[in-house]
Amino acid sequence: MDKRITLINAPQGAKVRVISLDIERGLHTRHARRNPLIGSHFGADTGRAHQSYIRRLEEMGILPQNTLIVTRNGVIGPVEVAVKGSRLVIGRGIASRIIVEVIDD
Amino acid sequence: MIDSLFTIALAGNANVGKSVIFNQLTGGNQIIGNWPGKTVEKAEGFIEQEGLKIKVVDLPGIYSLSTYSEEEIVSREFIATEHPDLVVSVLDASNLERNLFFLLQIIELEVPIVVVLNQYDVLQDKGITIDDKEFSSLLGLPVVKTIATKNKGLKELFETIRETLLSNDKPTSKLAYGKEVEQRIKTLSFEIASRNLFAEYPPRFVAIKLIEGDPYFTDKLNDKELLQTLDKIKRELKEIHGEDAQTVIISERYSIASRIAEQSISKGRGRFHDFSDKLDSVLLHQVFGYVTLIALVLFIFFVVFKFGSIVSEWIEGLFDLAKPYFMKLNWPLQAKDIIWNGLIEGIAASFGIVLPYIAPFYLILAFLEDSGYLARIAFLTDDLMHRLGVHGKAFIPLIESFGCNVPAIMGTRVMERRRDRLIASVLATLVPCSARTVIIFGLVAAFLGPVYAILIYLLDFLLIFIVGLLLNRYVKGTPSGLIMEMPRYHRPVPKIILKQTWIRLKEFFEFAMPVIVVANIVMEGLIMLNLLQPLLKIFTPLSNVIGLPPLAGLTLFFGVLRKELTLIMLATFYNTTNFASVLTARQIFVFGFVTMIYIPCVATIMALKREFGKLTATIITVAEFFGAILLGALLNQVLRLFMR
Repeated sequence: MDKRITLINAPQGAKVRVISLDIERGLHTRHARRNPLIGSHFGADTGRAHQSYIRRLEEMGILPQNTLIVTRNGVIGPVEVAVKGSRLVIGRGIASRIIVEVIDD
Repeated sequence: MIDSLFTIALAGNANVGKSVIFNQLTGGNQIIGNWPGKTVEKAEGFIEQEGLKIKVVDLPGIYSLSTYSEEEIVSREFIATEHPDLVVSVLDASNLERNLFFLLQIIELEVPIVVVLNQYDVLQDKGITIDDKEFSSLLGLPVVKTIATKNKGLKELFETIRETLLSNDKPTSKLAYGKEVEQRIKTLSFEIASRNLFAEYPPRFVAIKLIEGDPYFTDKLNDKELLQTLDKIKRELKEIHGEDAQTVIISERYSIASRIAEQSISKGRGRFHDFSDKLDSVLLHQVFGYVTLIALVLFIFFVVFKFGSIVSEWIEGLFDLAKPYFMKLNWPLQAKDIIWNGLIEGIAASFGIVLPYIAPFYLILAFLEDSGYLARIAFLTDDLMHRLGVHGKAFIPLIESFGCNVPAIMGTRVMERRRDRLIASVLATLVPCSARTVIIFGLVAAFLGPVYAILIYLLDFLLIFIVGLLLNRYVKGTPSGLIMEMPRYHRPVPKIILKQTWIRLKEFFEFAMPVIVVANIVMEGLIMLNLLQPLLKIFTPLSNVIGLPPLAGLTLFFGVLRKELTLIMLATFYNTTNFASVLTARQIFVFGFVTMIYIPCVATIMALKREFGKLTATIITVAEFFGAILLGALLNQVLRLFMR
């Protein structure tokens, strides 16, 4: 349990195992609920949106129990990981919701 | 000799070289358009060779056949309902697992498939080889190795396509998931088949999608019994595997993909840090990466505006030269006027005003895209874009807006979600396009000095930032994040770059030119029918609110139809080009500011309508128009304290 951190906090060069994609808390649900009237005119995504980005992550290979290598994680900018043979860029917001475990090599 | 028309579809992830293969197969024979009713680009081409006529449809580059984006929906609908005779699935040989993940979904659509292993020179560089016979037998499908950019393997590809189309034995494959999953899929497929639901799609495909929780299929399911069965299956899978059914299916797919990849690849001395990595250590450096980016952006501005203004003048000059000859024609004066000022000037405007700015931009854009640097731009700007409510992929359309808003709005399609595209487009309309820049330079900079011009730009950027924050907070939907595959750097191929540029330019023209021409004709008509006076009466109250004389206010209105002629109209109405003599400093500043932020032009409105629908386009237009008046009035009051 003690080696579990969010992806955004994983050091550059670390090898990590994905634990969870944090399905419980969607991003910014407070804001989405605040003004439903204004929002509805634009017909934008419903609450299903946060599920769909998790699906997107999974389809790109970020699945529980999969291994990733954090190839780039700086003070600013997104996180870049090596997974399934190629590089994937993940925005900070999403990366702060992915729980991983550092693997000692 | 076969006379019939075959149809094949090209499918694959983005960045696998699908477009190159498409170009090589179809030669120059291409039609670019849109999927009906959607904003997704559709490319169709033809091969006519060895007695065969084949229509090739290039599907968008996608990673899945779920309902994440319109591209995915359009692709799977095409395969399921149009029943192409063959799907050519292009894989990036150096990225096998993820590409296989997608191929497995095509296989689930139960269509004949030919597999292409492209870019295998990259593999060779890494010292890895793929046993394509083993690969082919594991998949149960024909496999062709190609290096599309070097034109290798394409003859074999065509031969394989030809053989497959002409034979009676169609290669479809079937790959099974783990036992407990497969068993439940079979149960559900049977139920779906017996009820004849979603008849265009294979029952197995539908079953898998339902278990995955795909909204498109789930939403349409009304059968209570079936919903219960589905629910039970999902619960059972969650119990067995400890993850959501959706995750289970995706994991299973990746298991199959891994297994096949492992059994086919023989690893050599694979290098982790190759050329791309070395370049990225500089170009994505925490400090130096941004320095290069800023330098690049400045360079783009310089080139585009320099080239743009030179060519623009040149083209205008040409039309000016031609005018006297046209006017000498023995036609009634009114007809000549409306044809020249309406039609010809409209064409001149599209070519002379917009084209010189967007052509070099598109060229540079195509270069950045082909080289792989575009993805790096998205990476570097993601944090900033996030504050504006979008993400890294929005940066390019926003920069593009400086040339012209219309292609920028079309360019927001790179983002999958509507919310992101919408926010980016609204912000794009607030970015000063070349026509508005011309006005700022010609009016504010010329008569008030460059400092005031810069001030207006700063106010505009502040507004964009604030609007971005507001939209982010109030537009419904969760803010999205960037999830993007980072491609390897790639030596850009000039032919491809030119082709891409041409395609984009063509699309812009076919859309924008008719709009601009019609707008010009309308305006000419209004002038000829002496409707200026009544219009003046209507716009006087608005002009008063922002402190402008009525004629100037009217010019703003006409600016919606013909923005680039705003200054000329002003000159015509006041009969002078010395605007300082008819407008006070304050009025010039307010005029410049309002021009910057109200809805740019008809072409922009049309672009918004096409991408987001009539209602949304109307709301944005009206909001921006009145927003501009409001802010203009506010500015006017504030400036009254300092300026006359």
